Amino acid sequence: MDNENFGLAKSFSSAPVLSISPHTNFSQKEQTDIEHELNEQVGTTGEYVSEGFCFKLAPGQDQIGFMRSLKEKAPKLTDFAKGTTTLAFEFQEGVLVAVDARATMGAFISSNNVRKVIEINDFLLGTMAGGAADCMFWEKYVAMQCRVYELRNGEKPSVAMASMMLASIMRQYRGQGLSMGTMFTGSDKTGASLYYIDNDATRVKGRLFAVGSGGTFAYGVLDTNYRYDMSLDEAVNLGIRAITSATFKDSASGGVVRIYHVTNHGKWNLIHDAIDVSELHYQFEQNKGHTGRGNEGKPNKYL
Amino acid sequence: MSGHNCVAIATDTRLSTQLMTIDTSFQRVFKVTDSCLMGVSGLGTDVQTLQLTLRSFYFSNSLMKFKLNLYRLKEGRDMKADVFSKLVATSLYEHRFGPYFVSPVIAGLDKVGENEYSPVICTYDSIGYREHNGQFEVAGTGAELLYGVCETFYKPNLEPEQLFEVISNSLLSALDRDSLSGWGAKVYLLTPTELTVRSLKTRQD
Amino acid sequence: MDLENYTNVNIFKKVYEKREVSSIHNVVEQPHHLLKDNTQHAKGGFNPYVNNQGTTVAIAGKDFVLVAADTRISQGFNILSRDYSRTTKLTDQCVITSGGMVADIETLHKLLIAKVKTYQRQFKKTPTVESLAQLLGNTLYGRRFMPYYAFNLLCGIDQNGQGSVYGYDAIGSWDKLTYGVQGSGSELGAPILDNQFVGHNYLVKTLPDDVSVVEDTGKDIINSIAERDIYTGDQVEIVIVDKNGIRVKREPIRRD
Repeated sequence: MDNENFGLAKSFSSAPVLSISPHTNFSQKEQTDIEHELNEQVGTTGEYVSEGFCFKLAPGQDQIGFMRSLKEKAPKLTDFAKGTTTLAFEFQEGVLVAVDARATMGAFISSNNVRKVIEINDFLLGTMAGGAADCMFWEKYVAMQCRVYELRNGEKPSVAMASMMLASIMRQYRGQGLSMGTMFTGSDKTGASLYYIDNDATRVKGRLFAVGSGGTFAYGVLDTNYRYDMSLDEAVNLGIRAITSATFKDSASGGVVRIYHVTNHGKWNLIHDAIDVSELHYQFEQNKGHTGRGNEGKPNKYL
Repeated sequence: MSGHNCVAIATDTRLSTQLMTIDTSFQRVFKVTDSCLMGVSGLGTDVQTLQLTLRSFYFSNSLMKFKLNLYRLKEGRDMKADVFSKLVATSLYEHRFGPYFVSPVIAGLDKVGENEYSPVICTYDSIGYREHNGQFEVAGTGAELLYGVCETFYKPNLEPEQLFEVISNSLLSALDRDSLSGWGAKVYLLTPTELTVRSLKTRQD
Repeated sequence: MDLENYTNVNIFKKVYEKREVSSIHNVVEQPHHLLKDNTQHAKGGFNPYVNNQGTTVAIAGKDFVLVAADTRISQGFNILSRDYSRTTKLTDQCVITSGGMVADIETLHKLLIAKVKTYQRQFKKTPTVESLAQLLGNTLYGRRFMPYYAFNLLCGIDQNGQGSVYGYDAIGSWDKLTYGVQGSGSELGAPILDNQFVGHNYLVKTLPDDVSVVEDTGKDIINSIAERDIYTGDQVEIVIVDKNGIRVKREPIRRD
């Protein structure tokens, strides 16, 4: 891959094409004719050359200090889309992934219908907690690296390897202000497996995770009802149940539930796309004989 | 929000610490006199504010009740909503240097003539600046969101049932965009003859 | 870590480089204010950001997209301009509209135009809205460590002829929407849009099909926001994108 024009999309998208290391400096690269012409026309010298995969940094030495003080400098800027309940667990038929769909900016709900499971490729899934942009971008980057690996070596990378790619990136950017807590799951020759990776470059292989602000509430339901030898139906219901109760308690989670199932033989399926958690809450409460408003046992006092 | 010979307060029923919901049937609106309602929303949702919200409960019920009763004994009649709204302002200002972190809303009706009532709608900052424009006032975490919808949907001189529709629509739309409010809502509709309280079904997430 | 290695701002590099001691000793170097490390300046260091505010609303329809934006630029409590257009045409079927810092908005819009041109020359076709959406996401993320202070909506007609709106945060997380509102009045505008185009408590979205109705709604929303948001006002700029191209019109609203 020493031909730097590999992939025509190079000058168009910011996707990296040359190296696995995001730190490679492309500024020394020769400009193509088109770029020259455009620079004259539009006058975006410098900006345009820094294409490829080179993050532009603030001028000055104290980059980390700059990132830390962003909040005071640009008030709304750092209110990135945040807030989540995501969970995933291994069971005998693979891995079940359940997520909510709310994105909040401060107290403001910016969306109630976000796709928090990133379909990396047809055998890998990643969930999204923390900064939405960080998760989305780097998981897509891993998708690209996986494809490159497949083309070079003629076989798909293992889940362990793909998750290591993501963890390595996080290690390189540690302390730079990325925000990501992802459950990386997929299915390869050895069956389905599940990893937790976060922005401190933690990479843990495990059986049951719940990540995000509502994660603690989800753990309550999960740990109580989890068994390894569950059937798929039971697992799906448990996922729905855990997400619903977490969205009820946690104000930064909500919207709809999405359920994915990663099978043991190299593929994942979308089981449920968008069930409204509020309706689920009323349904569950009414099954118990409650109204769903949470005022059972209280005198009906208005004033 | 005010209408023709009627006023209404709409409120959610959630009590929380930061992101965690504590109670979903919390009472925020109190009856002051037969013609005046007071809603109190605590600012912020951290643990401290939880205590302060409870203190505001004490504040709105006990402290104000004492002053109201004193007025009743002295004057031999109930306090008018307008007078009460000014009393709240001065009471808040008494704590100028250690204020209650609350933003109350007052909705009341004062008799100004035969079958003619003037609405009293006002809100305060935490040290007792009284703001009133006679149309609608909002307070609490979703204030910005509510301003947007109220500004769009509000018309002067609505009849009680129309007012109920408008205020419910405004509140529900704002609640769906505010992560810190919701989990049930109540609408208090006050006319010269009666007070109607309705519960609204809201999202529970 | 040697951060110089991945900074591409060559102008700044030169400024920060320590000058070599001159061989002629009797030449006294004049201190230059930029020679000092920026971090040693005021507390908090280098601050390139200022918020110029402004609100923009975009609504997708069955075969059109409508953008309604105000035209006010302000800094603090001062108004810098009353007729700034925050919407830029990228292709015949696609516009971008942003709120935030004007310098960043203009740079970003210019950069996108350049990228569209590059694309057109390389592939001999106009980029679709979908590919522009991904492009904008990557462009914003490319500045992850010194983000553009711009909150964008990318609006256009997709390949099926349907209107689509893509909403972004400052660092390039994006999503396809049917309507969006960005900028200083976003909190005031969002619940109104919800009420008009979704109906509260419903997640099912159907696209409106009448341009004039949507246009009125868009104008009303900007008008309502202008009542309460001091950074929004002066004029409402309506941009309608449909299969015939792009139409722009302006109407005055309150100027106080």
